Amino acid sequence: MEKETNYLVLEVHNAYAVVLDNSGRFIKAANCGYEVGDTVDSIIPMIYPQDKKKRTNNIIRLAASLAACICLCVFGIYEYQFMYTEYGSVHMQINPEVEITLSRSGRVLDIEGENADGKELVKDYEYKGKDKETVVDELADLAIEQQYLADAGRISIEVDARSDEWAKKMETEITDELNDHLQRQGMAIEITIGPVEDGNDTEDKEILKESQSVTIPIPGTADKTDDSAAESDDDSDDGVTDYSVPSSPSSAQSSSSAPSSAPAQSDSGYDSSGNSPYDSSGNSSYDSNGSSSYSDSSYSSTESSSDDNDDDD
Amino acid sequence: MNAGHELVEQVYAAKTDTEAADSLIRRYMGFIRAETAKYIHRAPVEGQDEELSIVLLAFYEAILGYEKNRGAFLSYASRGIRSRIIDYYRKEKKHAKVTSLHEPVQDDDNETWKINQLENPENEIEKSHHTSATRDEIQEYEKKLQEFGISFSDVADNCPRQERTLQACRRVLSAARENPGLLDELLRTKKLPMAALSEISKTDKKTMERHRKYLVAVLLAFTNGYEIIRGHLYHLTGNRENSDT
Repeated sequence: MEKETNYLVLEVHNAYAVVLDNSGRFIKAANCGYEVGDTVDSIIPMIYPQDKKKRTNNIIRLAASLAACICLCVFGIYEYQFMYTEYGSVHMQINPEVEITLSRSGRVLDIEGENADGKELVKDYEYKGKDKETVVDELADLAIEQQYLADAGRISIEVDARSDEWAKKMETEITDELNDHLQRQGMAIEITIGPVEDGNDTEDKEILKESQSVTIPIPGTADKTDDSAAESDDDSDDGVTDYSVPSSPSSAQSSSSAPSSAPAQSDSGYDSSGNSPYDSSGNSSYDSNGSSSYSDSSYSSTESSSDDNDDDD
Repeated sequence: MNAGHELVEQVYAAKTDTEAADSLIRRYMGFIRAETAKYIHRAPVEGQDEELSIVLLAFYEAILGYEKNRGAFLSYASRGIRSRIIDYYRKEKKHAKVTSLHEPVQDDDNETWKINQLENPENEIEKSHHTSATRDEIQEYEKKLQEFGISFSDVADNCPRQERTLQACRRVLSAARENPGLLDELLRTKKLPMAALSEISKTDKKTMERHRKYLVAVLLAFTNGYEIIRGHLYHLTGNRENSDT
């Protein structure tokens, strides 16, 4: 068992005594009536002024280092998010479609080809640690090299992000950079912001045209249609089916002349008893049998059509 | 104003000179007693009131810590004394149940102190012989140190207060003990064989230079003689000598 520390008094002064402990420390301590050669069990050691300063310094140092640690942590997390977490993505369309994932700082985190050409374009491309400007420039170069992009071509840039402001800023920066870069290379490439009208869009348009062409046969009879449409609005419980047909310019032209003959015949051009002005040849596609179930309601249509005439007058 | 300036000069002289410090303290004993009386509410008795010892120590600490820009010395010392006494009372609170040996007790109509009634387990004569022998040895040691121009106060001021530095000094001591020739060289040349000790103990020369006085004192204690002091340093010498003693 280790003995308790005791102190051998070596020198005594008025205010203090020099004592020696068992570990070889020479200590100045309060002289509580000691004499040289005494052995004492407890002392009141002197505190040196430089040690006092050191203690306050230590407290300040500890507080400062703690504050620094907190700052570093907060800043570090922010910086990590700023540098390494996904914030938005750039959709770059040359013909190859490429999606570039960006951090908030504009650092490229990932690149993915969105179509076959895009995948081919970025297959061997090393993007790690590069910023967005370098990557879009190099991808444009790569596209030129692989002959996806030629003079007078077009690149479309679209940025998606949590913040619209940031997305707009990125779009402008990328577009400016690409413009500069391609101009330096002497290429006249149009850089557009937003999605490009691709093949699907044109297909849609064609479909629309087709549907319009289906309605083309209507114009000759469109005046009737208009009347019936007007009538159906006036009188909803007349037993006549409300039937709206898209108007066409030709129907507007004939609308003024049609009412004079139509009321005597029938309320609608869609049913016909053989005398329909819509189909004089009897080949109308709207009616297959000669009798119409709507013929009994002809008077109401006459009324409505005469109303129409009055209005017109 | 002039007296204040003189006092500041004396304080500055006392910072490095222990004699000057002692004489300054003697001169201001009245102030020190008055300061103690503030806390114990009676005149202090020397050698009996621990508060007086603490106020004396605080006064000495104030001498060492005083700077001209800290105002008048006596009010600076007074503040130091106050905080030291507060510290002391805080520590004493922990031992509130301990009674004083100087507590008066009634013994057969005679009033005496508790300490006189306690049975002393040690043989008084033997103890006094031992103390006397220790005192002689310490005086011898002090003389030897003075040959090197070192006093015990110097050694205490030069003693490493950080455990790591103390360990480094202990390494130097063990290196010297393993090579008694180096201790002889120290006695002969009155100089610390710095290069050899540094090489053997793998201690930085700068550290050794900074604690030169302390190292000289410790190495001297391990030269011939000084058995009592060596016996006292059983933590330093390890269990080997501890078991011998």
